[in-house]
Amino acid sequence: MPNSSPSFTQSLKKHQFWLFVLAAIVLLQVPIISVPFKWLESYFHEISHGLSAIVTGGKIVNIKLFPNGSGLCTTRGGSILLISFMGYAGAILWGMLIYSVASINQKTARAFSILVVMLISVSLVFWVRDLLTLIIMLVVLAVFLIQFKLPRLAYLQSLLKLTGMMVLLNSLLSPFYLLDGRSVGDGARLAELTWLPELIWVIIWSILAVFGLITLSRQK
Amino acid sequence: MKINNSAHSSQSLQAIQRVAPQNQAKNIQAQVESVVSHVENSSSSNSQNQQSSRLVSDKATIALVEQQLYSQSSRSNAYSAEERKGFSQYDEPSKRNQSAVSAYQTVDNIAQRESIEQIFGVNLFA
Repeated sequence: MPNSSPSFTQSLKKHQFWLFVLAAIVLLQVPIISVPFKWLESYFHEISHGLSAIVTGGKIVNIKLFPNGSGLCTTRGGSILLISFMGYAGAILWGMLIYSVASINQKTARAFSILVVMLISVSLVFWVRDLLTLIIMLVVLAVFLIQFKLPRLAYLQSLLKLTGMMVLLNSLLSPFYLLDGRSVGDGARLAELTWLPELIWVIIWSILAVFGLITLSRQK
Repeated sequence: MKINNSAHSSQSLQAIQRVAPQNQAKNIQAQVESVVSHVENSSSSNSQNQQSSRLVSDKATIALVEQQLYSQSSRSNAYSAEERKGFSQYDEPSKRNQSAVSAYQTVDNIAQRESIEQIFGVNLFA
């Protein structure tokens, strides 16, 4: 029995990634609990559009989030091609980044959480112009602030990993909503700009998300 | 005999409670109980006048109940008028449905808004 406990812990550590994947899949099916995480993915999607605009010389006019998990980022200037692409790609990268940083150590996880809280707060002040988005953003902010209330840093680290995993899984699934035959959204915009069909862009984003999952699973 | 008295008043109360809202029934019950207790006190102090006291108490209870029933029926008439007014708007969508329709129309207008906002040199990314 004394030997079984360390081996169990080792086994848990070894399969930790897949346990987080499983937990995230289960939590995404729970009606009320999954909602803030969908909004979180939506926020990272929109802020990725916005940050791409800033990086390519443009600026964010405003960000809108809707209760059904959709969102809208209004920008002025910048590279439309990159801004369009970085919505889904950015959310995937955010998911990977959150999980990876949380895996480093507890203090890094905490520092990263503070940075995310600061980013959400800046977004709230400068780019939110309506009450509904304000409420959704406050819920998103609460998801991160609750993590600071946890009694141990190890819990914060685990919860941050779970958050990252849920953002990543949502990012994997959300491009498929574009395949509704309506030709609206980022895929349609990219199809207009590049002559590559919307489906190709959805496949690219999906491959990127699967690649992200595989990369994280191999991370030690 | 006490049982009869209280049974009578409680039966009357039950009749009221079928038509009156709960809080009004409580008020009536309190009033009836005060009358009954007053009569019971006087009957215990004077056993010779017991029979007439009970008669008085019954009359008082009946009068009170009738008064309350009358006022109650006038109130319920007023309520049903309001209710009828509400029913006349039965074909209007509920507030919840109205908000859903407006939310749908907002989404529908996104494309239109996009074309308008492009005039002002902005880009929308959903």
